[in-house]
Amino acid sequence: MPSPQTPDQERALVESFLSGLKKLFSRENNWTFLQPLVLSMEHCAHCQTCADACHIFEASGGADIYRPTYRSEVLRRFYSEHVKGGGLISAWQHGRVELMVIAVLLGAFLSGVVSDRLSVFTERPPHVTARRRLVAAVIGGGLFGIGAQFARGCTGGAAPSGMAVMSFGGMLTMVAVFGSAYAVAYFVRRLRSSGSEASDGTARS
Amino acid sequence: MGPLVPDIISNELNLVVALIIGVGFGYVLEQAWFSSSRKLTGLFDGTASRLRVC
Repeated sequence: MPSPQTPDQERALVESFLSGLKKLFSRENNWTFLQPLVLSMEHCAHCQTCADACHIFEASGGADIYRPTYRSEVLRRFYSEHVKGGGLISAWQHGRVELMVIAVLLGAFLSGVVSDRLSVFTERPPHVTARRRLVAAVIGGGLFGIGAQFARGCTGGAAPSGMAVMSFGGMLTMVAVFGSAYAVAYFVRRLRSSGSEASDGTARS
Repeated sequence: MGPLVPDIISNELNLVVALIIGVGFGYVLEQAWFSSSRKLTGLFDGTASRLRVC
């Protein structure tokens, strides 16, 4: 393809690219693949499952330029900017600002206000210091992250989201998660608490 | 059929729905003591009998 020589030529080239892109996202011109295309533009969660299945990415030895989400991310930005239109609403719709996560925090805060239990403290058993409790929480969170990487996704993706689309794997995950928690919880109970009920055994600091 | 957005639910309504679902989700979880790690773990070893939803 010849490179544009003048700013006018460049503008014309960009215009023709964008009009082609807009055509790609119209039902009249792309009735066959519009749905999967829109789904991948709007709802890609960057789970990287496609990277594992991409022979070009694998053969390149994991070069990021060949990572499927790297390339589609470029197109996704064009799409959100030029096909959908920019602005704050567009940012919300394309996951750059996750409105629902903000709303969850808002709802939880509201619930705390309604039930009159709004306070700042480190929840811990009486014989454990606040510092130790926080260190343990960070280690636990780290283990969760490592596990999610091993599994190529987290329980939140596998169990509730999987079950919502009637995935049998999602149901098995849910049974495995809760089953093993019930099976193991008794043995680590002593590490956690000596009290019988959280409301009378919990220290606040 | 799907995708719900933008075929059935418009892009603008999508934001309102996300807000309602988000606030509802956060509220219900907090009401069920999801904010308390000790109550959550107590559910599994039988020490929290008062874990409740709404």
